[in-house]
Amino acid sequence: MTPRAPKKKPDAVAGSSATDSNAHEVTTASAAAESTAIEAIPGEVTPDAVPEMGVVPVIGASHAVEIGEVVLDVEGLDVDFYVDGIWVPAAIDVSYQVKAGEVVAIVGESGSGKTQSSMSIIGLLPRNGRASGSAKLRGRELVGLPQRKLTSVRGPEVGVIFQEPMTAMNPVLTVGFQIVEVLREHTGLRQEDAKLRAIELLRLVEIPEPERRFDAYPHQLSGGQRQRAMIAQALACDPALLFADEPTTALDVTVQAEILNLIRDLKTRINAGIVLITHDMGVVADMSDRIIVMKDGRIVEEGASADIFTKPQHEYTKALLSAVPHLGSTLATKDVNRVPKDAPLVFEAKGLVIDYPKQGRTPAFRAVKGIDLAIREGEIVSLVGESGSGKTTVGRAAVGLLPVAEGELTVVGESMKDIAKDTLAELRKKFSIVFQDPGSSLNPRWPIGQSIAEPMQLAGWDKDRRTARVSELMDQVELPRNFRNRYPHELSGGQRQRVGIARALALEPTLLIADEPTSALDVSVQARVLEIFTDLQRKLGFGCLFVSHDLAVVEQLSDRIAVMKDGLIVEQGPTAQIISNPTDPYTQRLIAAVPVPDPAEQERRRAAATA
Amino acid sequence: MLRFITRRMLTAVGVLFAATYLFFILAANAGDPLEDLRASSQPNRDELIATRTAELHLDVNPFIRYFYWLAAALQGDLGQDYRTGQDVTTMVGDAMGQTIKLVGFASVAAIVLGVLIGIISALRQYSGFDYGITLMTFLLYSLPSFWVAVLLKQWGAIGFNDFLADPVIPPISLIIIGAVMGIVIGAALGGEWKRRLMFGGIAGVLTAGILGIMSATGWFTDPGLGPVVILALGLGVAFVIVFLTTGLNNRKALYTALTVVAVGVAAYFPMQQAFLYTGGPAAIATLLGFIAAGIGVGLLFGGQDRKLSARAGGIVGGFMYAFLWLDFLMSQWETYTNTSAVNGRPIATVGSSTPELSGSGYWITTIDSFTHMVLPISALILISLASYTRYMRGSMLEVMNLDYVRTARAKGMPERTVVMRHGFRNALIPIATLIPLDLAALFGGAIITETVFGWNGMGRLFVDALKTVNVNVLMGYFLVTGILLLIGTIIADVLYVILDPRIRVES
Amino acid sequence: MTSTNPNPGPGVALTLAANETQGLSLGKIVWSRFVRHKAAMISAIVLTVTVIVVLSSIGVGPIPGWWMWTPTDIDPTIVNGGKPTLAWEGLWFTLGDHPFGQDQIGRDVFARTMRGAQVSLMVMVIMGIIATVVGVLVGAIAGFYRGRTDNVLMRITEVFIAIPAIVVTAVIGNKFGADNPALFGIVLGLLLWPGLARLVRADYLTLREREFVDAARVAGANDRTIMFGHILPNAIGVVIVNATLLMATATILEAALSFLGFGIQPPNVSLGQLINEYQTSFSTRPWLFWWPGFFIIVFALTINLIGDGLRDAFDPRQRRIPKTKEFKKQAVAKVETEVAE
Repeated sequence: MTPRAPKKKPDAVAGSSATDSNAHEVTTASAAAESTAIEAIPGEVTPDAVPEMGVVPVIGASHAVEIGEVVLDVEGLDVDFYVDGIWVPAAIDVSYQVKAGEVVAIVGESGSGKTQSSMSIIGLLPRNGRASGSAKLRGRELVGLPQRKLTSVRGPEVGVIFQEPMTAMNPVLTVGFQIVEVLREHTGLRQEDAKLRAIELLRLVEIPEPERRFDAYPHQLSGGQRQRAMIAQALACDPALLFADEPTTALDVTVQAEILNLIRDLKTRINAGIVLITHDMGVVADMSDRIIVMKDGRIVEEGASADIFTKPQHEYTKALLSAVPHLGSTLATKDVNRVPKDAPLVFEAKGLVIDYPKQGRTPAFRAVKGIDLAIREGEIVSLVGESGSGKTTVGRAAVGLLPVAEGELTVVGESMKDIAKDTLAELRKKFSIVFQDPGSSLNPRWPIGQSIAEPMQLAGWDKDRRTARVSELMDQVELPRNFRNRYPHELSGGQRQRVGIARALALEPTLLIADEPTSALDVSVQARVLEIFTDLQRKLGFGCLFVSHDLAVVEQLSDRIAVMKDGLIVEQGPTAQIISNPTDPYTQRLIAAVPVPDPAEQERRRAAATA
Repeated sequence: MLRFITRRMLTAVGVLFAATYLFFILAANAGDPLEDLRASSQPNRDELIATRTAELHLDVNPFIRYFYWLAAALQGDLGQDYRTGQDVTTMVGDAMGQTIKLVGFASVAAIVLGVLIGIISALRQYSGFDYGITLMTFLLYSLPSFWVAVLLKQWGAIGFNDFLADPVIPPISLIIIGAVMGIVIGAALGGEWKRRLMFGGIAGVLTAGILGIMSATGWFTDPGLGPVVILALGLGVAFVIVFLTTGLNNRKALYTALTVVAVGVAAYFPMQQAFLYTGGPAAIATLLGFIAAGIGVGLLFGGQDRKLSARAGGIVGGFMYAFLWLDFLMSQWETYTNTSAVNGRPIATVGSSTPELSGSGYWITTIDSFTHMVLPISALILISLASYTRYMRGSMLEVMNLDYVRTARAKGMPERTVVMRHGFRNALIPIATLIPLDLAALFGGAIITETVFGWNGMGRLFVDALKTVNVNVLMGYFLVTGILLLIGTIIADVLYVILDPRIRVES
Repeated sequence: MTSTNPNPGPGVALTLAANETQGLSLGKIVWSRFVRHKAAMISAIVLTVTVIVVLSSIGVGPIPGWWMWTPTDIDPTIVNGGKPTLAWEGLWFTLGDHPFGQDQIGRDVFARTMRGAQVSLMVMVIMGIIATVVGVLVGAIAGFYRGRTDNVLMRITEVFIAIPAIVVTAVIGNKFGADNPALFGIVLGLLLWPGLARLVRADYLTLREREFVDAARVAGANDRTIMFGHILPNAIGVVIVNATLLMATATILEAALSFLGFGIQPPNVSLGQLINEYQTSFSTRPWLFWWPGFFIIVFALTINLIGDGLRDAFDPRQRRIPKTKEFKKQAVAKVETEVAE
């Protein structure tokens, strides 16, 4: 995964909205029952979300429901897909209810059927899918409704927020136009009024300078702004039900926090019922009133949010909860002296500067602007930051994929600056890297045994020695040996990543770079892979640079943490210290933004933040 | 943007130099321009050889000879045809005119049809229609153009001319044609089979019926449309246009279109008089007038969607003029067929026009051009159609599977809008950038078609020049085609930037 | 995603000999998908049969064929006015002496068509191989190294593209084609590679960004190993599909050139050349014109369809969703079984 160029228009709402909407949260708790999107609530301090005059009040479906009324009633919903000659079930006997004003979270890993069951309700299944059963929206049966009738339901009655805002919006139409077209399609608004309403909506979702952004194209907005625009679009006709399909998964942690705040904010102001589909338990803890847990197409447990978190009943729910890394949970077990202070350095950067090369049109830019970092043998140091912080670049420079522009970088005793080709070739036997996306880091045309053996083959090992070592490695990562002739597409994500780890350990490296190794994996799979990884690290004693954006994961396994922002390390130190006593404001923000899978604690954190 | 274009142009010029140089070497070595002289037994043979050698610099090595040519070319002199003495510039100019006529029409038709069929095929993916169309495009793609051309000559011309001698369609043929039409229409429509059967059936019966009437009334000898048919056609077009652009719910647009149809029909009789005095430029002016009138009606109807109504009105206006024009043209058909030069065999197989008729007035010469163009254009269309259909189908399929199409549906946009505004508009981008290149290449002459049908276009020019190793003509030909191709590439790039806001070049 | 059996636990050493399950390699997957593409399979069969007939009927080189006439034999007796003697008899057909007829001077058209087909095939195959090799090399190098190398190579490609294929091939074919069809094939190959090069380059540009390339580099692989050991197996789909389509185009191109008189010329025979030779007798002896054209179409069509089938087979995103009718049938069937339960 290549680091993206720095965004052109940074999300300027960064600091303010968190505090504003928190204040909002407290005052409207009591007024929640009667609030609507249009009327300004007296005595409330809000950003200019609700201008009074001239704006056309769109009296949509959400006005027709009372808080607490059942908006969506799903009963015995089945979803199947026709693949290669047979009907494969994706969701089986799904039943739940959503009331106006409440957030119901559907939680599950990939393949659980959470997205498909929701999409099937509004008729957005792919061509080879079909749904049966019942789903009533405000009493009206949706399953089996022909597409023509469904188009009048989607928009005015139901809104959808998708995961990837970049691809979910039409790139050749302006953001404003895409909102206006929904309005003009479903309401009788004239062009000028629709434009006003659209701008008002953009303001509602806290996009700065909405009049200007109206004429912007999707690629000209930042990720967070795009998602806000999507939300505006979904809310345009004031629907009674909102589906949010992993709305923050594609966003950075701090941006995610803002969007979640926004959604929570809106939840209290509009009457809509919200169905939040996600795999992230932290997000769920923060937002939902009720939780539905799905596995392999079935609902395994449901209940009030607090109950699920404190008293999970079903095995799977328990497993899911325990697999979620909980920020601050492992601090007590951290041993600061695990690694002797005089252990040899395997990685040392002093004033390291790295330039990211020109890519087609994007010019070269300075990704890392001068950092100091040291890693000793046997120690795990994590480099944490959001996209564009430069953390991945450091990892790549460590393995020689990017050249050192200025400063010093010493890896396993050799300086990486202007390193000679053969020195590098020799050095490569001493370090290795595990990549983020197991799907693309293994050559799809090579059997995995061959992929694992590649470093050995390039180092000149003979066949027998290689074969023996491959078997040994596969045992270490707990993969059956007879998988060696299988291809990556025949393995699951977690298994592929274990192959990646096996390959990285082939030549017994002294330094291992792990570039977001578990970000692309489901929560439970992630837990397993991390477990294997930490075990191996303890046993083999290599030094590790663990690059990640997920503080909770990082906390679990690292000895020290370094926080990066915009090419610089803003803070570094022992794990316990960074997590419990961060000094740098960015670090504090980062930690505050990490959603914690415990509703009570989330409450407390929010209250603390506003105090 | 300007810098971008200039940069591309400079590279293009460089490429042009290299290409022309290469080509010159090839052409010079392609044969012996003195061949005919060497074999001749004329007394002054040696003199002639010497003269020609001097003229064409044959004594100089080809690698250097190029620069003689280049020097002259940069001053605008492309040399002469060594056999006829004609200026290459004029030759190329004339040939280009012919080719444009041929290729222009064919391309427009192929593009429009290809895009249409491609879209329908993509929307009906995996249906019988889709498979059928795919098979058909493959077949067309695999046909050698010369084979098709010769066949067309046989059946299209000779067969049709024979038919015209006794223009009666036997009932069997009527039934078969009707059935085929019905099946195709039914397949193209989507939806349940009952609806498709009904529409298909209606279409089939209508086709058979109309053809039958035409056969019975001797329409083929003296064709025409008449106000009634024009009215019917106009209404059809009006509904389709409004349906595609704004949806039938938009009343103002609908009324605009219908009004324009009415105006067109009302203008029938006055136009009959006007047409008698119309020439080429006047025809174009009147066409523009009709379009403007259509736009005007749209604007008059007002409402906030004025522009949409105006657009619909303009398009319908253009169509109405086209129908009226066509009708008058048809009325001249009989006169044309009975002229001595044509003598009852109107569809021609050779050449681009009948020389004897060159002064017979706008209408006769237009019909003449048409009858000469029908066959070669059909040949060209059949081949181009295949690739455009496939491209459009592929592009459309890709786009319709993208996320934002799903979002558009999730917003509750009607399928028509989803397909046209979100799907088609984006699917068109790669095609639009393909078209300039394709056109430019075709302007090099549809070599085979021109040879078979005896048109004196660019292709023919090239073939003849090659056979006689006429280096000057070859270079002239190549220069023009090369420039066109490179311009085409640049236009394609510019179009891409215009159509896709993501690619805006940072200035 | 396939879920798999849980691991047997660390340290359990299975003997290497046993249980080495063969995975589904690309070749196997592609083949199984290709076989499901009906049109492509039928085309493949038809093409194979045709090629066998073409090669064996009149023999290749020193190996004799089983057909009674050679392309140059002149049969003094004109059977049936030269018309084809191919006729239906009940369910099968009889060949007669001259199934495709005879030409004006009595030669057997079937034999000539077969010879023409052989030459066309040979030209096509030679051209295909050369164009593929050159195209892949150029495309791989340009796509992998980008920058300056890419620019230069792409300009060169553009020069080739600036010259319409038929123009250059006409000029060159005029010179070389007359004598030696093999040479003609080589020349065509050297001229037609740019299209393939561009596609390969585009593929390489995307593939080089994939992480397994980085992984290989970190493991110590050099450029050549990466380009041809890692990336090429992934790009092979594009190569094969487009090489096939290129060959189909080449068939028609060769025929067109020979038709115009620039390619294969008498006494050599090719399908296009035959059509050229016989085009004037279309009104009197149409069969002379039909059969060579028919074979051109057969070749071009089958190769095109095979190419399309290959494209579908290599594309992992393609789903062979059945026709709507079948789909509905299945849907009803499921509902019925549900109701029955």
